[in-house]
Amino acid sequence: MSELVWGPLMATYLFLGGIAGGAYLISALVDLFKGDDYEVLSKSGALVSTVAVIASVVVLLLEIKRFEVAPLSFLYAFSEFPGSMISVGTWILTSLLVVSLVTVILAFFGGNWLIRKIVDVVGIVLSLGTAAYTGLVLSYCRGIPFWCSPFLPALFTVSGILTGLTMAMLMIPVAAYVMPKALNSFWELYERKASYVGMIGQMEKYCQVLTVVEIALLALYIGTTPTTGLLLAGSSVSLLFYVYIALGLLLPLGISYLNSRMEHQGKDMIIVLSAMIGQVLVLLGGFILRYVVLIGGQLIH
Amino acid sequence: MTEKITRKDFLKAAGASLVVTPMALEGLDRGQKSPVQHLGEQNAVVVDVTRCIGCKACQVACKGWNKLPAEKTEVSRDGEFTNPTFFSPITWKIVRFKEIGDYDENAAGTGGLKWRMLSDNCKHCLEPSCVSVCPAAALWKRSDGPVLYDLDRCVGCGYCTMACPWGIPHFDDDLHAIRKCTMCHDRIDQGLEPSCVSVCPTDSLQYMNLEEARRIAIDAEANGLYTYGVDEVGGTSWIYISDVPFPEFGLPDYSTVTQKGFESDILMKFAGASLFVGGAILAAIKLYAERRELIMKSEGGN
Repeated sequence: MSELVWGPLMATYLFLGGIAGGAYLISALVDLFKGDDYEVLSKSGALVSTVAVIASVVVLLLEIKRFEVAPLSFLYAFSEFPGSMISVGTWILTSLLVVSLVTVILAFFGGNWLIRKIVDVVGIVLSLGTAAYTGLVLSYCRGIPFWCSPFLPALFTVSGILTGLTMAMLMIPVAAYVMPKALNSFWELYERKASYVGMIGQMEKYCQVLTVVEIALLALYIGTTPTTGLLLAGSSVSLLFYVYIALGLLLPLGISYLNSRMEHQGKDMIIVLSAMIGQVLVLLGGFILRYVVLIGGQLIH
Repeated sequence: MTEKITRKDFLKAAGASLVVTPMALEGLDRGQKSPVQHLGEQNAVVVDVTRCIGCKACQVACKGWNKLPAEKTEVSRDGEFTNPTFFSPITWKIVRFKEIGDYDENAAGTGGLKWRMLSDNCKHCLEPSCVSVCPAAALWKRSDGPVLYDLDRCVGCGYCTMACPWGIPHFDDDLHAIRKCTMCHDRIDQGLEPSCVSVCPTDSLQYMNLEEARRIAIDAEANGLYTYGVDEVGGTSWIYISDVPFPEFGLPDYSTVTQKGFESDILMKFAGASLFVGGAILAAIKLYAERRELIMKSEGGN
């Protein structure tokens, strides 16, 4: 191959797709199991999912090279379901957008609780499908051996859930600032320490589990895929790969662990701020992972 | 006020979904129709590498018949005679030059080396990956051999380039669509051979019935020669015969599995991995919840 067919925009698309799936999954799960204490996270997750799906579609259209001359040509993708993975992804993303929008409406404007639960369950399936799709779309590419692994979609799914959860957590204060009437203001949230800081602590533990699983899947993926030697030591993205491991996985894991040690010690503001730093690092790592896999795969080939 | 579903109920439903979803996808996969245009019996081109003299007439004929402009290239400084070295929207055929070592060291004047040339282009797979993955049905397979495409239907997503085992289709920025070798279908329709075949001075390239081509290749294998395209990715309409292994020309080893079989394999293994990982995550969360409950109870007791 003489040039990169898929560039940074495609990496962004996969990153946003993962966030959309992960954020909705968290939104639905906390709505089903956690109740009112986590309402703010559920709302934030649904909002993040909606915005991420829309942004991912915009980014994809920018990446599609024919868009400038035939902007509606991408609609053909709806007709080939389920033959092509991109068609499957088109349907899943569109469905997730609809479900996310319905969830936002139900969450912010109220509605029948049973309908909300049904939407949650449908959305969970779609959100897992979206996160998995971002990996499967690559692993079906037989021309790029580096991507042809069942562990790649598993890795992207777990990374998508982690980045989605992280983005939903990170956006709580932002959404509270932008929509103080719909959500509580940040200071109101902060003053309700028992619920907000407690929620951060709880979610950080889930993040720790997901990060450990992501590290295990990364090891399986790298260990079982051919041509990874070049990625580890011989390509221009090698350094980024190590940045991902250090800053995107290990450092947030360490911060999260230290945070959990500080619980109930009256250091709530430190916990909130350091959790935010960890969340930004997780998001940075999530993007670098997709960039390294996408660009590295093509370069190694 | 929110209603809660018990963790046990959710785990049951999640487990059932994990089992049923891959089965449903597998069922859909089997039901997929192959986009084939039926136009008579399957033909093929046999490329006998041992007869190629590297004249590049095929490369020039391809440019000429398809009105493809010249490629701006650079002369390699490491003894590479392949030029251009890459496929592009305007280069559909490459003659790969390879100096092979460890050859008959006693032959006079060879220094243990020999040249071999391979006329390379789209292999026109019997079950093409590009056709399988295209989200717009812009590519299709003709039953008589060629894999063709519709310029107006191409979305420009690049998925065909990535899925093609040899990265053949390339997006043309001027035409705003992918382009690649068409096996000179317009010549075939007139009862002619592909242009590259028609100009080959040594009959290194021969156009014939697919069955005959496969029989020739199998006979060659029996005589100790290497073949490429008989089984690779389910078989191709361009079948190569050589006295040196094909990885020497940069053609990778591929299994006999078709793209659909390859996709099903990835999907099933992913489903298995997901069951394992999902179970591990749920177990970890359950353990954490139980531990937390114990701690809360002990704190409450104190």
